[in-house]
Amino acid sequence: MLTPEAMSQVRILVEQDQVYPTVLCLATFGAFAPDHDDTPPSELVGTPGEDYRRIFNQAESRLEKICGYFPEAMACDTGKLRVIDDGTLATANLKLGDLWSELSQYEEKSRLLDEETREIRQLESTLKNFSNLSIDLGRLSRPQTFLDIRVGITPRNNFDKMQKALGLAGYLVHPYLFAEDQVHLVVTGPRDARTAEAERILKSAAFRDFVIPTELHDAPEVVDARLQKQRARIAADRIELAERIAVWTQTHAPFLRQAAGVLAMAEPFVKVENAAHGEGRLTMISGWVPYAQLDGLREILKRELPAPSLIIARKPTDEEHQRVPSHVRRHPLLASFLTLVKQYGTPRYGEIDPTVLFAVSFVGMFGMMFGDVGHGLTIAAAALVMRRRLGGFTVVAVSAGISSALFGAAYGSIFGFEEIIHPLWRAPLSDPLLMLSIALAWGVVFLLLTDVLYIHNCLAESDIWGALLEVRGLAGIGLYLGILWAAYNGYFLGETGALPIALIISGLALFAVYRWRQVKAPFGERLMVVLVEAFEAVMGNISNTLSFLRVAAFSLNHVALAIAVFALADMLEPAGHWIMVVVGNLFILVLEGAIVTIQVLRLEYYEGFSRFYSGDGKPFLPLRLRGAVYTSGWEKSRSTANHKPNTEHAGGRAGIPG
Amino acid sequence: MFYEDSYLHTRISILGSRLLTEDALPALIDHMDRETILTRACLDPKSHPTENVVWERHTLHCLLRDLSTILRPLTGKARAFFVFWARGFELFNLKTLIRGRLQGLAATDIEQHLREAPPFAALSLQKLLNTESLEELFRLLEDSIYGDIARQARFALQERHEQLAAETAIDSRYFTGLFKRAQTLAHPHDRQTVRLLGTRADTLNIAWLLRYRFNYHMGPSETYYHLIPHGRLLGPDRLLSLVELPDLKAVVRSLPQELRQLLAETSSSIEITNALERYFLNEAENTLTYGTSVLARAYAYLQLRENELDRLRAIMQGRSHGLDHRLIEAAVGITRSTTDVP
Repeated sequence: MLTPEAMSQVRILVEQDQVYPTVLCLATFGAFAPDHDDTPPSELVGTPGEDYRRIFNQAESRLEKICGYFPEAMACDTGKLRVIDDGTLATANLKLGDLWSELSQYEEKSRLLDEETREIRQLESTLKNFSNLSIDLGRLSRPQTFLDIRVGITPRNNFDKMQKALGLAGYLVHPYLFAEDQVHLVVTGPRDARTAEAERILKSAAFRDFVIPTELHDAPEVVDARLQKQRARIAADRIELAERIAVWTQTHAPFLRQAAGVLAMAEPFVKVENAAHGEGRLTMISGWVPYAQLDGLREILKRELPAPSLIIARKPTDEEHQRVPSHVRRHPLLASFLTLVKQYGTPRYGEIDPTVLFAVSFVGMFGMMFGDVGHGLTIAAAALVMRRRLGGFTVVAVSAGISSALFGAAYGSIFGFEEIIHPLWRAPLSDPLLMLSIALAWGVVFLLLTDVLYIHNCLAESDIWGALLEVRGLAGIGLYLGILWAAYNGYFLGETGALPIALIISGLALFAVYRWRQVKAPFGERLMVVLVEAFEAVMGNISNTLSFLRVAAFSLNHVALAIAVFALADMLEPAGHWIMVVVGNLFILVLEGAIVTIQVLRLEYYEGFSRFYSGDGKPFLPLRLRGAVYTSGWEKSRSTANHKPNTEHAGGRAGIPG
Repeated sequence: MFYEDSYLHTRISILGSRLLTEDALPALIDHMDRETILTRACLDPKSHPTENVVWERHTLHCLLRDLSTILRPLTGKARAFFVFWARGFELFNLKTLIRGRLQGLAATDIEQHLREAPPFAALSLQKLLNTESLEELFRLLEDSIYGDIARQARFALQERHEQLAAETAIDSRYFTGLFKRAQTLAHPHDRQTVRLLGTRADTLNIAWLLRYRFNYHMGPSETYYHLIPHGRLLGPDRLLSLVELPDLKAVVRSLPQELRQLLAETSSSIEITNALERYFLNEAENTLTYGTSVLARAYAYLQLRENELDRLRAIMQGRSHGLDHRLIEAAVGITRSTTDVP
């Protein structure tokens, strides 16, 4: 219950022509995760469907690009559950390619219109600045026999180099306006053999010619009218383009929805990738299935596949634990706590899933650190009001609020007032030392619990020596208890005593011997590593325990903040007094609430998880059909196919070498 | 030396001490076993990489691992300089993609020639590979941090329909960007890094000038336009005079004394290219050994390491093709005097 679900490694052997139906069947089953790391028998070396995957990826990319423009087309029209053969996929891909090519042209047209608009804007700015030029503009518009004259713009970055390079070709460059990242300039040179070279430089430098309107020097209003006309034309082009795209979308939307459906059906096979191996007519699909669902898998394959299939199922070996996916299922009320656990990492297969411990300790510590009936109920009520926005985290917030309210009742505090209700236990400030002692005791229990969990995790991986001798193992627990015992004796009796010291030394010695054998390094480095780690083991235990003092410190801090708010409120008139009380409480709720949450998470992750939880597991990602729940069964042609009896073998190799 | 640079200085010194010295190379060609060479190049000693692209992928990993060590303590402009340096690998991919699209190659064929994208790459290689035309590729690029470079390359292709024009535009923009970032570094990093970059620009400019003028027969002004005007010994004015010279010998004769002496004995473009590369590597070695700027030393180290990896690849490939040691030595730029020959 506390560990991820037991898994079975499954190898399904089918005839080559049954691979697609089998994969589709597995996707509808929804509890089969492909095992991409399985080493197939030497006879099954091929990986089927490479072309299929390539075509799928191209089609998927095309559909994604198209749907980037029209998200509504993404809604897929899946139709009946069916096998997508190579031909259907290739046809859909070709058609998608054609459609993307058309759409790409529209996009290019739109880009050109943008560029034209930009050029008009630059031309307008140029015309406004032509007054800076002391030359006859009329001459610029006429082709010259001996002179090559151009007016245009070039990116600023290219200007210096272009000016010098054109100088070599006998050209003069006159910049008359530096605007943003562009330079407006007049280029003049002899029309001779070097003109072609100058032309190439200008093109390399991204120089754009301005076409100088012939009317320019006669009638500026004509120029304005002409530019307005061009603007209007561009606007009309834009409208026409938008209309064409709208028609295009309407025409092709049904196909796009169908194509999305085709890809949804084809996707499971693509996701299988190298978890399928085959040679000749035989194909093997490897994967992981929760042990409890093995019978379900056998049943569905038997029911849905017309040809026989062979299922070889076995328990994963200890060495395989790192690659077995972890399937963690929790009650919906714990789901949001599981999300917070997964922020740290997914439990490794066989490892304790700390969600329950996390949920209980998180809620408890938050309540103790932020104990106030008013604040707690406010948090719970606010979480319920904002439940749509908070989603799954509503449970976390409500339970933290209730815990806060319960501790508040124990402390006798409501919105900081300590006179309204009688404390069921006592107010934190009435006995701070007791609060600190309780926090310390909780820390010791919490840390010992994490050590026990660590031992369990070691045993789950058959690491007996780790469970016995590691710093979090039995030797480590001995060391920790020795430290606590020595500290207790030292504080209350004035001397540590021989037994606690013996416990510390033996714990450290066992750990040191264990590490000495593990570290593979030269003598000096080995000695250094063992010494430093032994020192860290002692210091880590002490600092981790003291870290829990913050649980009490924050409960005292909460009261102290309330006192500060009331001290300020008492200095004000009645109206100001109540405003101060409300604002002060809001301040405590928001700021201290956030700080306490962070501190609790810190205690959980750093003091707790880091001691026993590797969090390096692989999440269980079963094959599924995207988008919809399929209950409609197979297409007629499939469902009427002859069913042949399945041959099943649980365990063993059943005739398949490997 | 700034005390805060001590960590990086130490790391660079350690990394630098692992580099192959020039004297060790002949022995490497003659005696070193393939496993040792592969290990030095961060490759599995049991692997048999024969294709260039496989080598490049693995050695890029190697280089990026060193780069991440260098980046760890860096912030601000210093970090930006090295991140931009690494973007050179991304631009290599960009040029390969443009070339592939121009030649109408399929995405799978282009993919085989791409280098692995650096971890802080600005572009999604898969998205670029998924483009189906040059226009689409450029549209995607124009929305990225390479928008400026992409616009320039698009224009060069649209107007001139030449792959070379697009590639020189990309190279030139990249180098200018690197130079500008080096100029913004704090003193004394700026001076020493710019000096080393300037030497790199000099060597590239000479090689490109000879190629454009005498192999591609470009005119002087067009050749000048494609050069990098940030050289240490070859400033813009010197380049302007060099591009107008009629032949290779005249160009060599008109170089500043330091470079003229270097190239005096050379007679072909390959010899010139090798001599220039050696000249730059000497300068990088000097910076690595005697430089006081940790950033200039780090840049020098990366250049030397990249060169070492290229040489190791040449040695391995030469050996696997059963080439004569002399040929391999020539390929890795070793010139031995007759008395050295075993």
